[in-house]
Amino acid sequence: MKRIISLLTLVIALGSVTRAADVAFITNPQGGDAALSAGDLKAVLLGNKTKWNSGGLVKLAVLESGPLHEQVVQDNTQRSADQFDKFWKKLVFTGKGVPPATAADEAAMLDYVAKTPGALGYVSAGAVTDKVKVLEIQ
Amino acid sequence: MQSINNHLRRPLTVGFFTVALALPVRAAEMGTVAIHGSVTTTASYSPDYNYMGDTKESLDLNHTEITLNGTHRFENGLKVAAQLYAYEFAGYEDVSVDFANLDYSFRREIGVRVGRNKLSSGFYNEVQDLDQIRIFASLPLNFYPRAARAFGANFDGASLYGNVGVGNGSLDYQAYYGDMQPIDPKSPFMRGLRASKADINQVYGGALVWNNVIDGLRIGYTYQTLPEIDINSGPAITIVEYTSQVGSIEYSVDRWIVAAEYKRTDSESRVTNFPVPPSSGSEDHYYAQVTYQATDKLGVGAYYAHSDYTNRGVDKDTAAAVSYALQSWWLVKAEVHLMDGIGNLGQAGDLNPGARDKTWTYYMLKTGISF
Repeated sequence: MKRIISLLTLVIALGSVTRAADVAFITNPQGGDAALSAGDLKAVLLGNKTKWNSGGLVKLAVLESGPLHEQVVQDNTQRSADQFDKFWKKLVFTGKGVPPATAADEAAMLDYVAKTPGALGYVSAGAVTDKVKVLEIQ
Repeated sequence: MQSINNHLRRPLTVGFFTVALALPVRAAEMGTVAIHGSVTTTASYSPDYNYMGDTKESLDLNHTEITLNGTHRFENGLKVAAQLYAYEFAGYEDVSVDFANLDYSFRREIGVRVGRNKLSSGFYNEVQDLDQIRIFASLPLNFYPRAARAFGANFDGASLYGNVGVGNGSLDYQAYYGDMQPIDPKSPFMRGLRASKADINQVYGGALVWNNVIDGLRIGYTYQTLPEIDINSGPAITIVEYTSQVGSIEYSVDRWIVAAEYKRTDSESRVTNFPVPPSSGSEDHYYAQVTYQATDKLGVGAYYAHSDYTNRGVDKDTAAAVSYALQSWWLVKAEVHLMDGIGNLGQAGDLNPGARDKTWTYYMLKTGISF
């Protein structure tokens, strides 16, 4: 019984580690910063910050839907995916924001970020390729 | 502002169905210009009164709106955005440029927007036409009067804005100054005002929103002054100074959103061509609402709104609404209002001779698409 409990504890612990580390924010190797604060990342996701600290436009891309998208917007903007979508509609229909580009899946996201200087997106940590740069979130 | 010719009456209603069939369901990209739009139409009925249309004992297709906008940010950071807004409301039709502005954000904390901008008042005045973001078919009717849509949604001028990090949250601010559009004498508002001319002229004000004091909580305050409204009513020429202040709070948790707003308006009037003493008045409005997104498709909501007018008594509006998403881009809504008070019954110039019964009912059916 002790072994089972230990095994379950290990599985849960590993699961937590995996969950906490499974998102990678990625940028184009040209332009962009090496790191962003969590506050600045939230400001980018909500359209309040449109330029990198080092200069140049932040070209934000988000996934159209899915668990990864829901996790990213919940963890970093404290909004559900539906609320995030409505928030951006408010900006667009009041002339206050340019909507983020949308990617149908992680492959499309990687492709967009790799080809777009200044781009910022996110994928599963395991999907990162050498064509993009991982952004450190402080 | 340009009115549509009379022989084109109800083209928007017909247009709704045409556009609904023709529109793509996803936002379009023309080069790097993001194109978005929406179309809604509303039918209203009351067994008691005409209200914002010929609604007494008849279902009136009294409100149709079409919105189309484009946005582009240049590589130097300059953003250009414009939106056309066409609508039919209570028999009145109009097409206007809703906003058209140049916007430059120097940094997160400071930016400037110049041109025709949306006018901030409370949490929802800027998004009063944006049906797809809420469950209700209408915002609280006396708090955000639709008859004032013809002039109260935007201004020509400049605004300074930004977002400042404050602890775990942030503070949005905006300060603006400009001119508002002249009010079309044929508009429902002017019918209700019974005036031949009303020019608002200048407007200035500001807005503060404190975000995420705790997760999901927003607290806001907006201030607005119209220092010299020029009104011609019969032979009298009146100058009115009008000020409004709105306190707002909204809390989102899981599928629930709870919101409440309080508005106080103060006005001072002086007749310039007759020896009439100046007068002043204040009005108080508040409402509280709750919505619940039961499923991805189904949402329900209710609100209670209270308005205390200077010379027209008190109006109370208790409303309940249900919204259903046939598709992610297509909503249908039903809403009922149990009204107590007739102080604002004539806001759109509706005729209800002999109206005395203060308790009445108003039903709305609405459908809309967006892309």
